[in-house]
Amino acid sequence: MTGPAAERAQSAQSAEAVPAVLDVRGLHTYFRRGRNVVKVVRGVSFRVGRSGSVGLVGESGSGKSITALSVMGLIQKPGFIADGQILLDGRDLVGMPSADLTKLRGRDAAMVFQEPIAALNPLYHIGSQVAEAIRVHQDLSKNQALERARQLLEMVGIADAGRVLRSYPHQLSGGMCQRVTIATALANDPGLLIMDEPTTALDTTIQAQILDIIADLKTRLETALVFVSHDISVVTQVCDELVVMYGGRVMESGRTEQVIGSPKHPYTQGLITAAMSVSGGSGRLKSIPGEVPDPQHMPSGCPFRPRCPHAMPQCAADPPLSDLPDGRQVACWLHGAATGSTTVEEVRPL
Amino acid sequence: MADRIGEPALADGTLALQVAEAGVQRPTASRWAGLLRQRNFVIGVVLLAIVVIPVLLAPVLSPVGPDTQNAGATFLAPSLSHLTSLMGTDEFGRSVWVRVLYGGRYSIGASIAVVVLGGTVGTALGLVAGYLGGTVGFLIMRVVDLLLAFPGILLALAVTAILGPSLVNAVIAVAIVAVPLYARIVEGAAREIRNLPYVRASRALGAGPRHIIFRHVLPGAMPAVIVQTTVWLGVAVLWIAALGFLGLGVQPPTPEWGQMVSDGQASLTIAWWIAVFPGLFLAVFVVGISLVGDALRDQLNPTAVGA
Amino acid sequence: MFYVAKRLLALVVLLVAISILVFMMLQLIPGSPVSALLGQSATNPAAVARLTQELGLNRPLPVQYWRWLDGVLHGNLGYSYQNQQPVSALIGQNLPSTLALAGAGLLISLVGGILLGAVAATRRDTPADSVSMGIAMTLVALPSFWLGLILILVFAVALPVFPVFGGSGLRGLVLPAFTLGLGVLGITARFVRSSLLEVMDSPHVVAARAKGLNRRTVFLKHIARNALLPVVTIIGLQIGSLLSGAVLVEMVFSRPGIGRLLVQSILNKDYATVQATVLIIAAFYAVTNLVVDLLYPVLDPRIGGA
Repeated sequence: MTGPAAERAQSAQSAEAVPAVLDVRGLHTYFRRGRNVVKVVRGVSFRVGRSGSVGLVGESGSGKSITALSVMGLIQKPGFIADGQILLDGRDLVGMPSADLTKLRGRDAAMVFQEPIAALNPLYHIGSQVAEAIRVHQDLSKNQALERARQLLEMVGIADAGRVLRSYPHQLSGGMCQRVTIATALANDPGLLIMDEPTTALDTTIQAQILDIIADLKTRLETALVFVSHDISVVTQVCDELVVMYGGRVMESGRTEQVIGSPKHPYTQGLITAAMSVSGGSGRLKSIPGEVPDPQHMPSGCPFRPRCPHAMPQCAADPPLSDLPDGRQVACWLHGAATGSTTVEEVRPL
Repeated sequence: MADRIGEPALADGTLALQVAEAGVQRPTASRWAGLLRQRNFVIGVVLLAIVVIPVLLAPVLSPVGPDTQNAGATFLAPSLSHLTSLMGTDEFGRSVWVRVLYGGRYSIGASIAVVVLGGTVGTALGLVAGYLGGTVGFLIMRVVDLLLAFPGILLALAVTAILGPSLVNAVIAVAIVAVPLYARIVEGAAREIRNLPYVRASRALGAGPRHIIFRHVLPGAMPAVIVQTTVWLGVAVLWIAALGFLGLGVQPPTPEWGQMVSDGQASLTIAWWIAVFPGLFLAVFVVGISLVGDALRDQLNPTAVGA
Repeated sequence: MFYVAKRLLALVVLLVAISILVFMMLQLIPGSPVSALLGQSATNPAAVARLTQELGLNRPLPVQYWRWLDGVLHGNLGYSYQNQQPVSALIGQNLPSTLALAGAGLLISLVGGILLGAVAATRRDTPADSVSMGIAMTLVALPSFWLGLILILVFAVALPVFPVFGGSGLRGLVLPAFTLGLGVLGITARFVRSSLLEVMDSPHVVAARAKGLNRRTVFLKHIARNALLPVVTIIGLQIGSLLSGAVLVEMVFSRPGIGRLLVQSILNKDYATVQATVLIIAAFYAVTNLVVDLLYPVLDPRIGGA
């Protein structure tokens, strides 16, 4: 069989024995604009197991943030989920009544956003905002919730938790606010934690601190983590698996050491080379020539074709995400098709 | 843009230009075209046309004069039988239709005078204050603040108290209220533009204040001034009419929309048309102007400069 | 604290400046201030002499100003020869009525404006939105004196629900208050709409939804409260419009009040009353703006911090 059903069956088959906390299958999220429909996410699939950590990597416009918001059920008009399944602990969130979705937000799945200070309401102090997140899902009194909030803040390394609880967001630094939002997200012990560019808006030193906290929490808790970022070097520090997205699709996915060590997809290779040139200090910055495609004018076939140095006539047809023997997946004609033919070419990094 | 050629080249010239262009938008041909596509603009223009065209054509559309009395035809209800009685007649048998048309000339004419007078003076003050800054600018803006401390029509009323009731004095009074509003907007724009990198460079190279003001500051402030002007055409006509209604503007028997409404109030219960039609024309005019002003504001987007 | 002190000082400076300007107004009237103030009785040489002495018109201008200001601060706002009463008495009689009218108008404009703006914002880009904003714009454009007459025609003449003119107590307040409030309502509605839209798109709202809060809580706690804060900023301006509009509304409905007092004094050339009324209204407006300013730090923790 071929087609989306085959894709789903295949991903189910090639799944690890560990049951997945999150199983995204063939997600399509579109936005209505006037009379047009903009297809931002066009068939994304990936899984996160318990204690697993998956990094969604891609440049802006790749659809990674929308994917994250879709998982949380936060897509609103004019956006809508057009197709696919989002299985959280086996329950499909797509088509779930919004009352039920609301119940599991903050409890079974929680999210941390990019701009820490902006993600907090400037008119309420920290304590009430963290306590609010707790009391939505737990039957605690205000004081009990505040006490729990204090514990949470200490868990993310905030020494003077009492002072922070009484403060307003504008009185705290970006790094401090981000710790608060992380603590808030973990307040109800969610099975899944999604972080959308949590360190992008922070200074590099603070960035490192937050990443440390995340890494620490990862070892201590069993929460499944989805980490969205455009910065591949950041993601590799935190995540065991990587999902590389481009043009609303998955280009490559697999264990981090596999993807970084021997990237198969030309786009992944480009990303890694660019990242290495920044940190490697080898003189000129190496970037991928060309620009990210506009979702409203997406070229047909492989979305990376216009910028790909290995583009072939075949690429006019969209390459399906196919499995490789070492357990990873690539969507590229250089690496065979869904029939399972394994014409694996060792393509040297650019 | 062609006028940028000849500006001194700076090390960060392109960046400065981008900064400048982002903040200082000038109406270009394409933006005027975009205006026509806005629904608000079209509706506004249509409404304005409904009012302004008959007013302009008043002599053509008036079988009798605005002061022509007819003792035998007083308090006639509106009827379609004759143009004269399209909107009925008043207590002197005068045609309300004709008076509305001629009254429009006074009302709209006065509001244009207000905007021209107040706008010119206000813009000039704003340019001086914004460009010079320092003590002069500070003093001018404090006077502006003082004038703005009087709410709404209060200042205009005070001025008519001093000068006496007449249309000219009403125009002056409302213009005096418009001056600080223009001054404030233009001053803000001038201050912002004065500090843009390429303007500073221009000054450093010896360009005189006149050059700077007319080539950079004034064009940059134009979008905000244009929007303000359309808004004020509406406000001014309302306030002139208000003063007329209160008896502090045009004096009878000269027709003017506000004053006609006041006339009609006495006979409201028996001849509602005398008061209703002038006010209706006034309302349609103001709604039309508001729509046009809104469309202009969206199109020119002067929020970047001083608004 | 500094926030408060700075503003109080600014208010005092402003009030002084207003008083100077108002004082100068009298000097600008053609003819001498004495004949202006006396009006009809200006031909009586004894009255002229007495007033000249009283005002100290033979003294330099700043001294005159000081004497006048001193009088004002002690409650002496001059004497209205036309009405044969001290001006302060006139104002005292008329002020409460205007305050009631302005208060009712403010209430109508706030309640109506917030509802209309909220309807438009929560149904953004639907016909309900355009219609609401169309209504708002029309209300702003309508001349208030004309609107008053229309309301009279409909609700007092055609349907005799309310009294046509005058009318005391609550029933007599309704039509004038609506006339006054509806115009301001339009401005408020547009402002509320844009404020709500801005807040609805902000990150903390998405974050609040991500916490699992239901729609209602998100709207009330995280959208409405944040969006209504800027509305406080325009309340000061609205009060100015209300005071200004009260003048016209009181004339349309022949309702006693400061506005009508002012207009009648202008028509009667009762300059003492004109001067005092302008001063009182302007001062009231300035003080109200200060009160609104002082509300900010109470409502918004970001402002007026240590």
